[in-house]
Formats: sequence, structure tokens, C-alpha cells
Amino acid sequence: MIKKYLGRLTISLVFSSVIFTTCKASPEQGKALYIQHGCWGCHGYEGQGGIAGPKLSPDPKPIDFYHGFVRYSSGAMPPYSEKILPKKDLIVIYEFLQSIPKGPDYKTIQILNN
Amino acid sequence: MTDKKNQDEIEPVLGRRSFLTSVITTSAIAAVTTQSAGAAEPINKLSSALPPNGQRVNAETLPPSEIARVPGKPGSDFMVDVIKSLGIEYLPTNCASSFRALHESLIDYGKNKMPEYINCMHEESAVAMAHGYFKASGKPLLTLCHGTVGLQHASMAVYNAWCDRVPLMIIGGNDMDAASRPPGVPTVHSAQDINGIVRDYTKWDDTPVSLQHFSQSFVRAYKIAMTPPYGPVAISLDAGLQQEPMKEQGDKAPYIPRYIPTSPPQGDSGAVQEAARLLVNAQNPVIVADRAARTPAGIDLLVQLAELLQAKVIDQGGRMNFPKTNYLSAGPTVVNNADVILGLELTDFWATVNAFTDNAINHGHGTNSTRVQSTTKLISINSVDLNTKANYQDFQRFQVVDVSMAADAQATLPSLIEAVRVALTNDRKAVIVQRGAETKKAYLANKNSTRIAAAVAWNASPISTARLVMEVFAQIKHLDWSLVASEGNVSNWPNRLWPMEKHYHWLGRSGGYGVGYGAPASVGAALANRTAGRFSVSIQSDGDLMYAPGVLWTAAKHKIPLLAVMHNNRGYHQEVMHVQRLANFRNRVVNLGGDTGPVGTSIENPDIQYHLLAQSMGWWAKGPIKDPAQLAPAIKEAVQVVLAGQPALLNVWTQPR
Repeated sequence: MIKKYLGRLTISLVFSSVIFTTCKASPEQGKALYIQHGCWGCHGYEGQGGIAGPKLSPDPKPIDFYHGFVRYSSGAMPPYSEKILPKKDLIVIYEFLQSIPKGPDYKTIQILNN
Repeated sequence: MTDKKNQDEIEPVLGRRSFLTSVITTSAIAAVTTQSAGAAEPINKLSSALPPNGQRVNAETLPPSEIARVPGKPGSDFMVDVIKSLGIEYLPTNCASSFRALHESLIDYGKNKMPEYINCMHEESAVAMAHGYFKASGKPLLTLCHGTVGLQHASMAVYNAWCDRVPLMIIGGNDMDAASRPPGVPTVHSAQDINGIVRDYTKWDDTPVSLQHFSQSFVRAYKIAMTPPYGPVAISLDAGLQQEPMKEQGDKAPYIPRYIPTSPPQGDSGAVQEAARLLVNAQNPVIVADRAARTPAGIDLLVQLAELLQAKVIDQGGRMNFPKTNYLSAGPTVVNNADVILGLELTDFWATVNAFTDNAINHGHGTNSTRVQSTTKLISINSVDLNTKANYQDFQRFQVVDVSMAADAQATLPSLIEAVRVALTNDRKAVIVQRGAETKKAYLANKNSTRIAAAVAWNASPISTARLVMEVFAQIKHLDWSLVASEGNVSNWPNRLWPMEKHYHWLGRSGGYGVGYGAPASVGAALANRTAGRFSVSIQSDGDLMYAPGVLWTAAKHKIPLLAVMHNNRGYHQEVMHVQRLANFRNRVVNLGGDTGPVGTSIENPDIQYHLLAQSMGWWAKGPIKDPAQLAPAIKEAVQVVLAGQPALLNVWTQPR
């Protein structure tokens, strides 16, 4: 089972490295797709993560990672097939995640440090 | 014989309860006014099983024109004497006819003091108020429910109290005598056994048939409720018994039994010594506590044990068990490397040491995996082992443990601490000191990583839950604060970031996960905190508030100061994720129906103006607040309102979790 999963993941990573390029969509379009596909549910509207899902942004992992994980997750996150989340949408969502600026350093937030 | 038979037929309508004289008058008037065609129904005709007609409804709902005097001391006055003997402070209740006699006795004969009536708009709110009150004060309250309908309204809150091991007293009014009770509504609201509605999730119930029986059963019920494991108890109280004058029982009047608390059950001495031996010799012992600290003394005992062993403590949050400022406080993953785990009053030992992943594998059932080593020894001290029932499944999956004590954890801790002291050798003491130093480093590192996580999306709109929680804390930290409820998931930020040390800093959750607990339990706890001079604050979720928002009026009516800061994520968020998950498993695009979450999970279009809702019921309120920069000034203003003795609500639009 694990071997099968890893095999599919490897194929998908190689495949995605070849085909993933950038799209010319705006961050707003990316955010709309991010919400439409329910990513916000566990990861928050800004990809900040929380108790239900890990942080996605700022500094998202490489898109190859997301492609493999989104398609074949067998953990707490349900897998998203091509039918549910087409590649082109995934790319636009990824670009939205990349566009989210870093927040302030926690050391500069007084009420977090008292 | 004929005369007697006639009497029997007529007496139940004309006699037994003198108030019915006036009801009959009213019925007769109603019959004339509502049944213009044909003759009025004879007033001594027995009622049928058909739904009540207009005449019958009028008999129940119109005020009596005159009530004959009842000679002697009413039975319900004696019941008030019994209730007062137990020092019950408040009576959160939604009024009803089946306990009207007791109601009248409480407010007139009893002068509405000890207990004081708290006017509630739903029985579920009344019970949840008692639930919150107990956790803030350690004192149980009494609530009155109306026969079948009131108790059914109350039942969800009773289940929460059962799961959360909270004692409370319920009296259900019931017109038991089918031959003499008023026809129509009171009959529909009666049952042979109303306690059956809640029997699966109460510790005990009874149906007294005399005043002496009532006094014994009420004190017994209190005693049972207050013996760990705590729990709710129910008394079905006949309306006739309430209304009838006191009669002597044999040659003397009924007496009130003295309440003597029962000592909680302690662990067997042999099992305690074996647990101590395992803990002392462990390389990496971990203590897990859920509802371990029943009182503030429980926190002190747990600190003693943990520091003696330099063992990490996971506080699962059923109660405030362990100070978050103590470096031995740890997260749930520390069980992974434990070789001995001591579980104290755990709701779910299985899920403490195992993981379940809802991933549709295993024919859709998900996967299970262990989180601990195969050699890890498990010790359990749990009083709930003494009180498990068969139907409802709050006892969770079965977990094999190596040392199992059916005993109260707090009551057992002193002997366990002593046994650990005796078992400690100098060699083990040296190992334990070294373990403590390492734990302190890990604690500080974890604190920093928590702050880093909290800062992400700090300036986001809707407002991040971390920012919501910390902006609130910044405005109350100089006060003697009490977080009375935190409903709706805010990623557990209060427990991760607030310096919780005292028992009222954190009052746990609902117990049964019955949504609708947060708002009323907050008001109940705030009522207790008002007496104690504490500042009450709640994180109030949107879905929870809408179950029974009438409790807002109760808080305003009784001037209960409470700051409710809303975590308004505009949805039943747990279900947002569940439905999305199932759609993915089935390879379907989930139907949003024009909302943000799947159909049936969003609370938007239209957005509820919670601040206006609160204002309409007498609260100071503001909102919707979407810009994080506006949050601090609004909270500051609201804090001043609460300090002046009023409830205040802030409607804040937040991130989902």
C-alpha cells in the first residue's frame, strides 16, 4: 500500500515538474478558487493554518509538494482529484498563496510578548 | 352506592383542587363565548383523549376569577424548607403550571432568596446556566422543568452535564393523578414517568408520593449528585403533592434529613503503591488529566505530584487541572515517548494513546494507529468507572490499562504522592532532576514556536483567532479574569497563550459537545463570578448563540456582567470540513449553493447582526468588527461596561479556526 502510494507520488512529482508553469491569474482569482475549493476550511482565509490544518503561507512549499500531497493524501486532509480540483486551479491557488505577504515578526507584537 | 358513584364522577372536576372552581367558571364562560351554536358542554363531563378544544385550552390559559383558600401550610412551603436546607443559591427556571405551587412558595413563602429565581427563556438555557455556575463556584443549582415538554427542552443540557460530570438538581412538575388533574394542556404535559426522559444520563431519579418522601429524596438526590463522579439528578414532583396542605405522617410532621457529604472513593492502597513504583522507575513518565481537579486543591495536588516526578503534564481541558505557566505543562504529543502514562479522570484513554484518521481507508471507516510504544505502561484513576451506563456511548472505546483504579483522582492523589515519596531512592532523584532541566528547555522552545504561529495572519481580515484571543487578553489581564466558555474552535489559543493558573481561568467545555452550551453556561458562570468579584469573559461562537439566544435577555434582566466576544466565523465550521471531506472521498465537487461553505453549513446570506440582537435584549453591543485595528478600542470600551455591572457583546468577524 505504502509502496503503491509512493510510486504514484513520485510519478506525479516528476509529471508536475514538467507541466507546472505559472498562470496569468490575479491573486484575487486565486483567493476565490482557494475559497471555492474549501481550502480555507482547515487552513484559514490567508493560509495561516490552525488546529485543523497546517500553515500554507507565507513561504509556501514548492508546488510539486502540493501537487503530490493534494492528489494522494491519506492523512487528515482528504485527497482532491483532478475532477474536483483541476491542475490549472491548483496553480492559480498556489500563486495566491505565494502572493500573501509575511506578517509582522512576533517579537514586534507587544501583546504577544507580555 | 349510587350517591357515592355520582360523587366519584363529579369530585375530580368540582372538588379535590379548590382552584378548579374558578377554572370551571372560566370554562363555562368560555363555553358560552366559543360555542355559540348548541348547548355548552356539561362541566362535569370527563375529558376525552382527543386534543384539547378551545374550551379546554381556555380553562388552562385564562386566569381564574377567584381562588378558594387552602387551609394549613401548603406542601410546597415544606418543599421550600427542604430546598433551603441545602443552601442552593439560585433557581434558573422557565416558569410552568405543573410546578406553580412550588414556584409561588419559593418566591413568596421563601422570599425569593436562597434560592433566587433567575428568569430563563428556555429550559436548556436554565440547565446550562446551572452547569456553568457549578464549574465557577463548586455549588450545584436547582432548576424546575415542566413535565414532559420542559424536560424534553432541558434534556440536551442535562446530557452535557452528565458527560461533563457536573451535579445539578432538576425538579420536573407532573400532574400524576389522571382522575383529577386538569384536562387539556396539563394532561398532555403529564406522563407516568417523566424521569424516563433523562434517566440514561442522570445519576439517580425518584418520584416522591409524600412530603416525607420528598424531603428524603431531595436530600438523597443532592448527596448522590455531589458524590464523585458528580452528575445530574432528577425528581418528578406531583402537582397535587405541591398543592395539598401538609398532613402529619403518622404521629409527627415530616422532617428534613441533615445533609452530610459522602467521602469520595479513593484508590485501593495496593494499586496506589504499584502505580507509584511504575512512575518512580519510569524514564519518561507522563501525566494526563482531564477532569482531575474538581476543586482548586486538585490543581495544587497535581503540581505536587508532577514536580516530585518532574513528569510532563498534558491537561486535556475538561477542567483547569494544571497551570499553563508551569514548565511541566506539555502538549498531547509527549505521550509518544512516554514509558508510563498516568491518566486522571480521562474521558477517552483510547484516544489519548491512539490516533484515528478519518481518511476513508478501511472501507470508509478510517485508520487507527497507536501513538505509544508497545511496552508503555498505562495507569488509570477514574471515578466514572463506578458510574457507567449502557445506552449513551460517552465511555468511548475500550482501552486496556495495566493498573486501573475505579476511584476519584483528586481524592487519591494525596496517597499517591505519599507512595511516590516513599518509593523514591537517591538514584531516582538524580535522574528526575536531570529530566526536569531538559523539560524546562523544551517548554521555553515550545512557547516561542506558539508565538510565531500566532503572529501569522496577524493583520488579516476577517480577524485571526490568535489575534482575537490576544487582543481580549491585553484588555483584561490586569483584572481577576475568568474565561467562562470558549465555544467554537479558536485553535485552542487561550490555552496556548494565556497564563492560566487558577481554577476559574478555564472552565472546560460542554462535555457532550451539545452545541448551545456556550452562551447559557457563560451567563451561569458569570453569575457565580459576580458574587466572587471576578471578571467574566467568553469566546462566543455564532452557531452556539443561535440555539437559545434568549439567555441574553436573562443576563440583562439579572444584571449579570459578562464580556462576550464573538468568534463569528459565519458557519457551523466542523460540518463545513466534514461535508467537504465526504465530497472529496466520493470524488464529487461539493455544492456550495452560493455560500462559502457547503449547503447547510454556512450562517450567511443574510449575515446575522448579533450586536443588534444583543442590544434588543438589553446588552451593550458593537459590531460587526472586521478590521483588526478596531478590535482593541472596542474591547476596551466593552470592558468598562462590564466593570460597571452590565453585559457587553462584540460581534467580531473571524477566521474559521
